[in-house]
Amino acid sequence: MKNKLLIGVITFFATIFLMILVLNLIDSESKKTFTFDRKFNSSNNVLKFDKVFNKINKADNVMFVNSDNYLVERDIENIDDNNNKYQLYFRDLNFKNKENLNAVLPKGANLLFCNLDKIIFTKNFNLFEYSFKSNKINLIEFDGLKITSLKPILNSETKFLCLAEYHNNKDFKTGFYIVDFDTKEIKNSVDLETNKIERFLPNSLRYIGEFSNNKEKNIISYCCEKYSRIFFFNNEGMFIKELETEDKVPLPKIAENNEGNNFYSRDGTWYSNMGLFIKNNSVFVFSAATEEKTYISIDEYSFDKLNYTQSYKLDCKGMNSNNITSVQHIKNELIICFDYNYASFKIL
Amino acid sequence: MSFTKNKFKKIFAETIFLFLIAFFCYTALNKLLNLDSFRTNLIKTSLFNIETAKYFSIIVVAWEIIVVALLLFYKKLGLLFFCFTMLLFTLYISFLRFKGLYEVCGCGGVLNGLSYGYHLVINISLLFGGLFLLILNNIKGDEK
Repeated sequence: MKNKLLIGVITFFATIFLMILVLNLIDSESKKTFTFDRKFNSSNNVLKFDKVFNKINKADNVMFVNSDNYLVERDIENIDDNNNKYQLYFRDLNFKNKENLNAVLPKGANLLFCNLDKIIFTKNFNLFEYSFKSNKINLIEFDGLKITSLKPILNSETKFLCLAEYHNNKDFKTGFYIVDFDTKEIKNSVDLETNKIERFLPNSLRYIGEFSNNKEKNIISYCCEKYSRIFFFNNEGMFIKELETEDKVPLPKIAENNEGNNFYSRDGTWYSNMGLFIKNNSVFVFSAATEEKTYISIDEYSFDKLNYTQSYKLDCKGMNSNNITSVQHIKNELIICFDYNYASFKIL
Repeated sequence: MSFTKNKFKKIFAETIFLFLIAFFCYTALNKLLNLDSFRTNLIKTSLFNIETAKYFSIIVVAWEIIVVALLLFYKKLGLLFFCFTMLLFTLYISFLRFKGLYEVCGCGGVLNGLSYGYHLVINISLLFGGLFLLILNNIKGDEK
């Protein structure tokens, strides 16, 4: 009887052990990677590596804040129960230190944008503007609009293109809107989806990405990080067209815990594109949907036809596109912000 | 000479045994103190929803406490349950890796953020530690 029990236990343990072994030795065929057959151009005639620049902020990672003509980092210092002191470091795109500015903002402020005049931030879904001149915070009220991210419209001080959810007393519409901070006008640029219930938080995660602009072509673009879409707008912020990149990464799945917090579900979330730049008539996309993680993969698409043409391998000290947090483009210079530092490149 | 060797073996076995108890106490307490965080990590895998994560998290913590109690009062049975738990847990993380659902460890405490390779090595080490004690305990039992 005792022997039978022992044999049973050993068999049971051995079976589980075998299962563990099998699961570790083989890869699931259902594991999706969203890679595609790239046509690599052997000569890298797109970007030439220039220099590496270090971060200024004290935290381990680059704490990047979106700006227009500057590279901005920030540090946070706790000053009391309700407020934090933000130290902002402004550098021009040649990495020359311009100015360091301080601002006292409420705790939980989410910085969307800043320049040498102001900081635009959200807190509890409300939009605020902080002025460096007056040191005052103004609430910017847009009826029914909750903003995820924004970018100034070219040559305008008060107009912004933003990714937001708009509630019109009937539906909740997630999309891109042009807002004017002076007149409080809200103009729809393009709708992404319409829902009967509020989806601001999950949709902020689903459509997470980065605005960038191309001043030569007068184009603003929005590159989704976890969805294979890039949206293009004219200098007024009006939608022109969208590009679906070849990786075809679907919108990420969002899970929710019992406290109502949203987060990415591991089953259904993949990286797509981490940034882009436009040169002549081509869109160059930094794709994270690659198997190889020893170089940065750049996919080239035609801006007119929106079709894939070819890819390039960019060797940058073992970095890959997953390490990219921001891409800044000015004239023939490109600055890539990684997790821990920056690299500048000459556009060829 | 034989006495020293036996003494060393005994101290070594006792150290491992106490470590296994301390380890399960630590992980159970950590999960209990950060139960919401543990549940969130379960939901993130997409194998659990809010309801199942709620019950499963309690079952896991209760199970760990039971194993600690068994180790303290019924050593042999406790070691058997410990090994069984580590096997099932290793099977679980292996399945997560296989399906591409493993990101970093969400067990709590010092193990949080652990990559898969390290997690597997720790699990297997603990499993072999438990098996070693179990075999040692069986030999002693037979000798008696």
